[in-house]
Amino acid sequence: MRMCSSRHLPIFVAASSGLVLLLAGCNWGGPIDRTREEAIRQSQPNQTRHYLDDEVDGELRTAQPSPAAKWIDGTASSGLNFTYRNGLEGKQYTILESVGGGVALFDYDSDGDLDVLLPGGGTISTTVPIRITGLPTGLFQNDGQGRFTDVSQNIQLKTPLPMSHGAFVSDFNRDGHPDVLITGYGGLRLLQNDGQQLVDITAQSGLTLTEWITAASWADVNRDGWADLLLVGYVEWDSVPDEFCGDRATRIRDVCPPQKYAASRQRMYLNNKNGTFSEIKDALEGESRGKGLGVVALDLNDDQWIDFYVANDQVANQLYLGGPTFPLREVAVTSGTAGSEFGAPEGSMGVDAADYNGDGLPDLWVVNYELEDNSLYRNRGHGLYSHATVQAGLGGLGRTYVGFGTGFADFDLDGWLDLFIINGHVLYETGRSSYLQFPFLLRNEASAGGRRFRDVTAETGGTWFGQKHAGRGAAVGDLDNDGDLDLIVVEQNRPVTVLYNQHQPANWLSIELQGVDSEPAAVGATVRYQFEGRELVRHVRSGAGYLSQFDQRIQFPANSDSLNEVTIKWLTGKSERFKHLQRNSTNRLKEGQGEPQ
Amino acid sequence: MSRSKRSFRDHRSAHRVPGKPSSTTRRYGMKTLGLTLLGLGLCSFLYYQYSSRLTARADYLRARESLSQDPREAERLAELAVENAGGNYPEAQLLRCRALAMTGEWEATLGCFSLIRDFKTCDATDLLVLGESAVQAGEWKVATESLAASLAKPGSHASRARELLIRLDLQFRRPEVALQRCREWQTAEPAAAVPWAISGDINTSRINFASAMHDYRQALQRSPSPALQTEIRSSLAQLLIHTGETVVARREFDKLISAGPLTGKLQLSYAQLLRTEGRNFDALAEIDQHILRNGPSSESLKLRGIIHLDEGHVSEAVRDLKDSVKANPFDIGAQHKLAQAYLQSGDPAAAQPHSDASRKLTDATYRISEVEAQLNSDPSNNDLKQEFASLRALLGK
Repeated sequence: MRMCSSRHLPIFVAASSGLVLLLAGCNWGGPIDRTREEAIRQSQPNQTRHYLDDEVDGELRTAQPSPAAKWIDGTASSGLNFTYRNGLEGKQYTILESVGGGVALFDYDSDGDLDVLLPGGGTISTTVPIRITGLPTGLFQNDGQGRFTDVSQNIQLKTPLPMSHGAFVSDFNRDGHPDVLITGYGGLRLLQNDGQQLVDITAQSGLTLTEWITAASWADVNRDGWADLLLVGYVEWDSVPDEFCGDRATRIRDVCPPQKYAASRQRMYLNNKNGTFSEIKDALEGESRGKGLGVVALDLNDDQWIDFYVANDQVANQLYLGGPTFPLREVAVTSGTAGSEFGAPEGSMGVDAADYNGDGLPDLWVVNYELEDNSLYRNRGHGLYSHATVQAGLGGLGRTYVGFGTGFADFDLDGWLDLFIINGHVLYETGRSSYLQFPFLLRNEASAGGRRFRDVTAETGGTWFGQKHAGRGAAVGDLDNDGDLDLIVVEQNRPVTVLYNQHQPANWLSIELQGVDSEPAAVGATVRYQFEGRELVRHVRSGAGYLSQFDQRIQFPANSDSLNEVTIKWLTGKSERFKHLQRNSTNRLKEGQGEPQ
Repeated sequence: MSRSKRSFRDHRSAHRVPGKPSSTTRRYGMKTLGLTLLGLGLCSFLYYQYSSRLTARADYLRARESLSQDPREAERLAELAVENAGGNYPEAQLLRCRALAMTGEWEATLGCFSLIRDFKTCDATDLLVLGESAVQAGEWKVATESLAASLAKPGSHASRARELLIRLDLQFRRPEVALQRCREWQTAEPAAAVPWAISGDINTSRINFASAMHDYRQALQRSPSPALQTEIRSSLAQLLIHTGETVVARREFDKLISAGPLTGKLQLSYAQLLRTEGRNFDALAEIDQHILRNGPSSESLKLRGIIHLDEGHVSEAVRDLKDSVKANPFDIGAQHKLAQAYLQSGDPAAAQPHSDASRKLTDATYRISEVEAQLNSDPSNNDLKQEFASLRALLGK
């Protein structure tokens, strides 16, 4: 049934899609044949989260949403109405469909609040040869209270990518307006922000790639004060129909796995400081290939050079250590960050880096495919990491899930970084676990053996976290400027969800760094802050999460005893103290304007 | 109607010649004589059959008696019984097959078994016993057919027959069929715990964790024997650890501990749970106790080494992991962890060979599953066969 679509249908869909797009504004999803999607969803009902009950053998206990829930699904009232499309309606079962989309949170209009940019994905024809048609990117302007207006018309995109995925922000031209890079199948689109409009300057930028690019990370690799770019791709896939993949016994077709395809080449581009970029050949040690879906950039070893950690699917992850010369050294295996607790490569997707255990060193975190643990690599210093998943209470947690959107964030503002994981399978019907999956909220807590994460999803998550989703990208940021960190989650073929955090701290401190000698976002800098007798260390990173851009501001808790001051170590190596910061609002700290340390 | 019949008889009597038997009477006598002779013949035949049957039955019973003591004699008597029964005596034929199986003549057993056309009169237990011995001897055809025939008959033997058939299905990598058999068994015997426990095991091995947990729970609900209950709970607890359901795993282990001290592999699983719970020192104590009772094994040493590494006891970690690798150099995890321990002790040169070994073993593990899949679709490919064999050797299989 699923293979016998009418030959005339795609013509109708293609013809009608343009019309409906014109009529429906941001509701891009109108014309798409949802039969298959609905069938999948109905076969895997979006039931409430269940836990195995230890008291009644054989019975499942339904967890009631806790009255202590701290998360509210505010999508309806937010005005943010957007759906990412992965092309499943084409019934081609391409690997392209599995990747999904991300979300970028950034202050596009420089009015002090987070606006939202969402790549739209694309459609895939039911006919052969396969035709992939890009869908528009959405841009939503924040009114400061977490309510959004669709201003997608302010994106001047010459030609959309056939299938867009990720969005990554950087003021690459140092004009004070954050610009956006959109990744996808067919290359990139670089959108220069003039304060009003996002204008496509890809052609003149030198970033005219046609390959499949998934993740990107902006960071100042050569420390010249301008943001450079590391690009990673997934696999080498041509838009030709794939061979049969899925369950041969039941003849259920599904998406082909990445091992069917060659790994993609990673590329380093240096910023020419004039709006263009040049690729540096041999910038990365080793094969510089991978099946990348995530890359995070920061200074991992405090040597004032940017390092990159690449999350690869089914092949070893890569850790590139920066330095004054190229190539960047690849040390994943020797550092202990290449794969599972036992060294095996994993199917890694979302990625982040932060100091979860309060020792001041940034640790690494990747979420993985089903039957694998998510991997937390504790930074032990001297370039060595230990696989700390089990120690940190995360053992087994991801084994029945496929993790995508993730990141460290201090959701309850207690000074310790918590975790969130948005799950969703890549296989529609033939996975070990279901296509729709539960998300997780994990609270960072003290224990005799050190910091451990406790699953507080049922306790604090509320309705949305109690349901299954086909989750992909997600970004953390304070959408309503109330001091706590909210979430925007992108699903496959379902409307984007806006989740408001209701922890609402009485006092907080928000820091936004502005590099001068460093590149504007100050990626690679470290911020130190004293709270309740200990030093909180936050590392400014780029590329965290899955195909997404997090809020670059740093939130700290505050109480009557805490001082309103922070110490920043910029990527240049200079340290400055900034005093008399204002509580309960964002403090923009410009490099060079603090007290030198 | 009755009136007309009477009229006809009256008419015949009127034509009879007095004093001479009529032709009708003669014909009647002839007929009677023929029938009597036929009856006598039939009786003789039946008697012959009966007496043969009696002899065959006697032979069969004698064969049965001598089966355990002298299977060759039993086979001879059973064969005689079949002969005496005119070649059609399925019970005796089955007994003969059993006798042949007992003497290890499986080819003859197979031949004997193929002569049984109808199992209707065969004893279900005989079929089951033959099936059991065929399973043990690896004679799959006889095993499958005799067990299937046994299962077709009602009785208490059915459970055992089902269990053995499931074992055969698994042997031949037909887990779907095995699961289907479990489901049939669960329907046929709703109060039985065993079919649920078995389907739990099958689902675990097929990595269908949610189904496996459900099945184990169903099994526990059905009041299994204390020994089976412990076994099921152990499987469930280990599965819960594996899937990260630590809190529920703890409760299952608490129940197991209250039923008696943990032994063997289960004790190591418990140590693993303690590690997952962040109770590394308790985990180390548990492993020490396990090693004291059972002696060191590659598994116990590996786990202790890993926990020492978690705790930053690098020299202890190196010691244990080194011993673990020595006991089993094919353990990817132990090799990798030993490399990590050496790196943390500041000895990258010592780490290198173990890192290499771990990588090589990992690559081989991935490759062998690919080769196996290719071999399944191209079984006569010699290159693949050779590669498969060398990969198995590399992995210590």
